[in-house]
Amino acid sequence: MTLEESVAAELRGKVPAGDVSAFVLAAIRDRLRVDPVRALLDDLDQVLGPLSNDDKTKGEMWWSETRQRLSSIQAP
Amino acid sequence: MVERDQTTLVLDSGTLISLSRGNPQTRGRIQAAWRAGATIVVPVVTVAETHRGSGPREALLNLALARFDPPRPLGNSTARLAGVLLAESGSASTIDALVVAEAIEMTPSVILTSHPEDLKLLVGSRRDVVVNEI
Repeated sequence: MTLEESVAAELRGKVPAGDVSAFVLAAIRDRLRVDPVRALLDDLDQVLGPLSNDDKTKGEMWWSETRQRLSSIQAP
Repeated sequence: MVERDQTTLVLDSGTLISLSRGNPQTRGRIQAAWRAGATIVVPVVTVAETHRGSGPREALLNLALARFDPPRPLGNSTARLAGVLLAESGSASTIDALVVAEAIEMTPSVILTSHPEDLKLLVGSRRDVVVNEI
């Protein structure tokens, strides 16, 4: 496995040297856990038909607003 | 490089049921979070609360549950945190407490739910969990 130098540098700055393997393994596991969502969304598109652009836009607006709300309450 | 969203979106049983009924708003929200790079989580208690067999009416729900199989395992620390949340809030809903505990362990997180007030009670004053109604 190879890493971009900038990513490797960021990793070294955040994770102690002895913990890198465990960190990378956890990240891969997290990513693999996310991938089934893509499959589920595809399944729903096939069974129910694709989402309208309006529903997609509303979903994106909701997520953007929710992230902003989360950021604002996290701020000290 | 586009930075991946570090937020976790936790789905409760009402959200999974809404998704399996084809609610376009719920689909749009989950799709948007996923596209942004958020991690989508279905707590194992949500599986217990929604799975009721394999009949044709449950086909889409089981399809959704199958995609999240295996769900994130429930550990002792999550269970203990849920107990603390129940004590702090006065709530009697162990399932809701386990959903909130999972969200707290994966902050920053958003819980998408059909009964936000019950979950907000459990979240209390914590600042890195947002509860949203589907």
